Order: sequence, then structure tokens, then C-alpha cells
Amino acid sequence: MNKVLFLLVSFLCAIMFFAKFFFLVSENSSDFYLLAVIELISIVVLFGWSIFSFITSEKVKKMRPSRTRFSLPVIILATLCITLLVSSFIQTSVTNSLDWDAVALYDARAKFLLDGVKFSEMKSLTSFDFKNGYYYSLYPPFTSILHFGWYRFGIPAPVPVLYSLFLVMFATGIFLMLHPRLGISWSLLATFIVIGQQNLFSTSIIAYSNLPYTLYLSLGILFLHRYLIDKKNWYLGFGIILVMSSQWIRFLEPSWLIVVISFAAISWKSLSLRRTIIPAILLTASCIISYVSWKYFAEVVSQKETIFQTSLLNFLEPVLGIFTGSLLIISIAYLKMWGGTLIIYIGSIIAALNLQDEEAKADLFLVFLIVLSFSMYFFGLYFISFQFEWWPEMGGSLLRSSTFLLPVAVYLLTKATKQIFKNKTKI
Amino acid sequence: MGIVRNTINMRKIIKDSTIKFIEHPAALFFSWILFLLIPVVNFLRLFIISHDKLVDENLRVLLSKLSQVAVGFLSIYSLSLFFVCLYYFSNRVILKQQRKAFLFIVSSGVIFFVINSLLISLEGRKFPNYLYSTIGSTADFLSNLNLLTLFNLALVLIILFQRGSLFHMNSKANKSSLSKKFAVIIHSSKILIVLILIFSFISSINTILNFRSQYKNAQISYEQRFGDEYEFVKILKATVPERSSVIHPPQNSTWPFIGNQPIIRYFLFPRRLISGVLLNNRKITQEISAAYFAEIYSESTDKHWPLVDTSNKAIIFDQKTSIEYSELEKVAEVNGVVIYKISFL
Repeated sequence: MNKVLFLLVSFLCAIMFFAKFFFLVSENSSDFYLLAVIELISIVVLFGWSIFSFITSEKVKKMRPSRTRFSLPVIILATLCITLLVSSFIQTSVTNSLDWDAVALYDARAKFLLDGVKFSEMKSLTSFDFKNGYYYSLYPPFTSILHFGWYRFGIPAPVPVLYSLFLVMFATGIFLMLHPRLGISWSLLATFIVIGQQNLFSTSIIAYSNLPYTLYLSLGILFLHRYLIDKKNWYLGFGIILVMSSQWIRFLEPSWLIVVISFAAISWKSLSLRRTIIPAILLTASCIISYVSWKYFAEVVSQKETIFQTSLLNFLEPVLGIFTGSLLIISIAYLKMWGGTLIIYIGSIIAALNLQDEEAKADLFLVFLIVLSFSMYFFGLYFISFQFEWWPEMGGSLLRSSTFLLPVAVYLLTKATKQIFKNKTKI
Repeated sequence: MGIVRNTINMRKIIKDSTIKFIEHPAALFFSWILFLLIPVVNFLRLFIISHDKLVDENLRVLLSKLSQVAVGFLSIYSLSLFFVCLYYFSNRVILKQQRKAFLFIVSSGVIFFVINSLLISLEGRKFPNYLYSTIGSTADFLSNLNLLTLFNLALVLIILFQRGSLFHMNSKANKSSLSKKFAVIIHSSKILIVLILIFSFISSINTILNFRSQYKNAQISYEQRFGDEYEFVKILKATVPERSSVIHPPQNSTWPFIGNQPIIRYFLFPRRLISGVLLNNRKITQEISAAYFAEIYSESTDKHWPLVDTSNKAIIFDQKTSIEYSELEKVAEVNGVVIYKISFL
């Protein structure tokens, strides 16, 4: 199972590397070049280190061929998972039109690339647009480059099929990561619950950046979590690559920062230099390199304007809003935006508090992640509500961009439930 | 002391009444029927609203509000009832009559679910809001009701099959190490965890059951997705040369699609796009020199764009400023949509 996981994550890292390499080659701006090269080198070094660690740490065991008999729950759950995946493929293969953001941004940039327009030149397309000058550098280029590759290679299927493939990789990754901790049936159950949640499943049938972002970030988080338990360096290496790479898919929400803070908090708690403090520093440094690299390109090379105002007034207004009732109004709207998914996240915190095993510290990393992410989304929405009147429309975007928390939450819920069933007379 | 004793007595009365209620099969049966009647309450609300001569307006508003409250109450009531049943029956033998009541709940719940699903699929075949205009319940409402039904049924199945061991509280642990209240909190949190996992599982099942409506959505064309305004973009694409400029309406709620430059660029690229809101001075018109545009909604008074004054050779692109042009040439007319080429020099 570890070998399959290794192949999957290596494939994801390779895609990211080649996409960044393509970007570097096509954007030959000298200002940006150095930062981009540093970022690529750091990915290559981490990748090489992870491969080396995998080869040396994973002993090859001679397995006697055995006939595995799958139980009824395993068969049912596997069938349900496959049904969802097939359902996604069927829907994407008959897609006649792309959704709004795919048309306006993600697929549009691929079209421009096919016509020879570079990312740094896309701003010039909006010279006669008074409202959307910043638009084409608002999001990093990963999904657009994949679309470009899809069209350039002449793949005879609608581009949304790519996102069904992402869903397959995501389901496989979740199952392989959870299987050693939960066993086959429980990890299949968790996988089914995760990919079946409507807010996540819907991202597999639209050509948006949400699903690849969730794929990279949540697998990165689970790798880091696994590292905190097993202390194998290849988990750390791949975890860092995946988390830092997620910024190249979506940049608006600083979820990588939440991962870094949560990981650093756990590392500080354990005070082991080699095992946790140095990895925390490595994670932080890698993510900062990625952050600075894209930010420099977007703001300096592409001349992206800031869409959020950060003056003293913009800070004071929300603070005063606490006393005028705005905080309550936003809080209620915020809770409504989550819908049924909120129950899952609340349940996962309760589940984490009920867990009784030696992995408690590693699970605390996941709890920090959920709590800090919720806080980030809430305060982000609160501050935005004072600047833009369209803030109530952010509900859908919030649900889609937060789907990386689902595998984390469902893992905690499933693990706690498994423990409850195991100690079934002890509830 | 008297108040404390009264409070304890009150709690005992409520607890005993609740237990008697749950134990009685007719009570379970009756409560479930109330839940199944939720769509009927919505239908009555629609009936009251649409028959304004039957009932006075103030009374109509009051009844409408009451029916909304009733729907919320019945949903929460049914869920609470099965939670309490789950707790109560976890350590007790289920009597034959009670078992029959639960089996009735399961079978009628399945029928209710199937009927709702058929109604939801009917909306897809008819028109949006067909269900609300006919029976007073929207497709989304019925979908949420289905989710709640599945959850209730899952609870009932657990009651029927878990044989009392799953949620049994370990009384020995309570006495030795934990205070009673803390033990109850832990016990309740564990039940909650299992129920939330069941809820999550059911919502994933719901995604599979929603395949048909999602499949239909996946097949919609750009015309269906973006509405009438897509027609203008299609005609512009077919008639305007690729290496030329196109002027489009301002981006606002009047022209949400064709005014949105990033969106229409997807279809019109590599043509240079110019927002009409910027065409308000001579400097910019001289920079552009010539461009094409489609006459939008020529028959409408509030959506018509641009406004042309041919006698004075003036045109308004930004809804306010009149600018002069040198030549306005009709280059194509397709399906009643006219494409013009305008020169400013």
C-alpha cells in the first residue's frame, strides 16, 4: 500500500514540478527568474530527499501470496465509492458548457496560452476594462496550465474529465493514508463520506481550482500528520511539497499558514529539535519561498492591484462593528453558509476530545487546523463584509475552498466511532 | 428547599411522562404521521395564500407564519423523538407492539422518500418552481426533507438492530472514577459522534441519489447557462473579424453577461474588448479609431444599448455621455440582431 501511495504522491509532485517548469520557461522575466529557480530547486531537493528516505525506510518484505477475502461491508463501501467516481466521470464526459469561473478565468487563460499570450501579458488584455484589471493574476496558473496541456495534447474529452481524474486520485490518496490507522472498511467508509459530500463532489464536475487545491493540501496535511506519528522523513518531505505547492493552485486563502502554525504549535509542544522543530522550520521556509515567488510575480511582474484595502479605517470599522451588532449579523450568516457540513466539523472536534490513544498529539495538529481554519474564514469574511457589499455571495466559494478540511474532520470522526464500536460496552 | 423539591418533582414528572409516551406504540405512530404530513402543511399554506377571498389578509399572514413555524417544529420534534427513543431503548427489550410501530415507520418512511424523489424529478421535467406553485413545497425543501427522513430511518434501524449494547452506559465506570454528570456528558458526546457519522454517510448517499438532476445540469448549453445575452456574443463571434475591436455594454445588473468582459472574452478572444463605460471622451475614441458592436435589446426601453442619434452622429455607450462618431455602418443582421461598425476618426 505504501508503494502505491508513494507512486501517487510522486506523480502529483511531478505534475506540479512540470507545470512550474513550463511557467518558468514561458515567463522569462529576469526579476522573477531567481525566485522561481529557488522554488524549483527546493522542490527537487525535497523530492530527492523524500525518495531516498522512502527507499531506505520502507523495507521490502517478501509477501506470501494469499487470497484476500473481502467482507460484505468492504464490498458495499467499495461499490459506493466506485459509484460516486463513475457518476463524476459520466457527468464530466457529457459536459456541454463550463461554469462561470472556468469560462472567465481558468479555461480562458489556457486559451490565451494556446494563442501565445504569456501570463505576464494577460493584464494587457484588460486595458479597456474598468472593473477587472486584476482578474487574470488573481489566481495562480496551475489549473490553466493543466487545461493548456489538455488541449495541446489533443485529449478527446471535455476538460472537466480532468477533475474526475483528480477525484479518483483524491479518493485513492485518502484511502491509502487512512487505511493503516483505520483498517480497510473504516477507511473505505471515511473515503466514501469525504468524496460524497455535496460541496466536495460538486468540485469534481466543474473545472475550478478547488478540487486540485483540496487534493494537494489535504494530502499534504495527512502526510504531515503521519509524520508526527511514524517519524518517517518521506512523509515529511512529501507533506511539505504538497502544502507549499497548494499555494500555486489557490492563493487567496492563506490555508498554508494555518498548516504551518498548527504544525509549529505541536512542534513547540514536543521540543524535539530533530524530530519536530527542524521540520517545522523546513515547512515554514518552503511555504514562504512559494508564497513570495507567486506574490512577487502577481504584484510586480503582472502588476496585480490589491483588491482588499488595508488602511487604519478599514481596520477600525470592523472593530467598532463588534459594538454595533455587525459581529452578530455576520456570525449568523457565517454559520448558515456552512450548512450541514458544520455538523461534521463540530462532530470532529467532539470526536478528537474523545480519542484515547498514543496518537493524541498528532491528532491535536488536526484539531488546531480545523479550529484555526474556521477562525480564519470567519475573520476574513467579517473584514470583507465592511469593504464589499457582495459578501453574502461568498458562501458557495467558502464551502468549496474549505473542502480540504473534510478528510481531516471525517478521519477524526471515523477514528472515534471505530474506538466506540471496539469498546462497545463502554460508551 | 421547597423550590428545589418542586423542581425535582417537575423533572420527575416530565421524565415519567416522556417514558410513558415513548413506550406507547400509538404515540410513536401518531408522531411519525405528523412528520409525514409536513408537505400537507405547506400545501395548506399555499392554499391560504392563493385564496385571498377566503380569509382576511391579516389572518392569512398569521396562518402562513404559523404553518412555517409548524413545519420547523415538526422536523425538530421528529428528530428529537428518535434521539430520545435511541437513548431509551438502548438498554431495554422492544415489545412486539413497539416493534410493529417501528417497522411501520421504516416502511412508510421509504414510501415517503420515494414519493418525494418522484416529485423532485417531476420538477426537472416541468419548469422551475413547478412544485412550489402546485403543492407549496420547493424541490430543495423536499430534498432536505428526504435527508431528514433517511436520518430518522437510520436511527430507527439502529434502535431495532443494535440490541441495546451500543449505547449502554457503563455504570461501574461512573461509580468508581467519574462524577455522574461528567460521565453523562462523555456518554452523550459519544452518541453524538456516532449520529454525526451516520448523518455524514447519509448525506453522501444523497449525492448518489441526486445523480439524475446533476446529470441534467451537466448537459446544459451555454445558451441555457448564460441566458438570452449569449445570442449576442455568438453572433459577434460569427460576424466580427478576429483581429478587431468590440465594444460591449457596461458591466452592471442590466447586462450581467454581455457587460462582463472576462466572461465574453472567452468566446470573443482574440478580439480586443472595450467596455462602453470608458467611451466618454474624445481622447479614448481617437485611440480606438474603429470598432464593432451589437445592438442589444433593440425593442426594450430600459435594456436597449447603445443609444444612437443618427441625425447628429452621436452615440451613448456609457449610459450618460454622448460622443461623436464619423461613420456608422451596418455590417450584418442575424436573427434580428444587428452588428455595426463604428468609426470615430
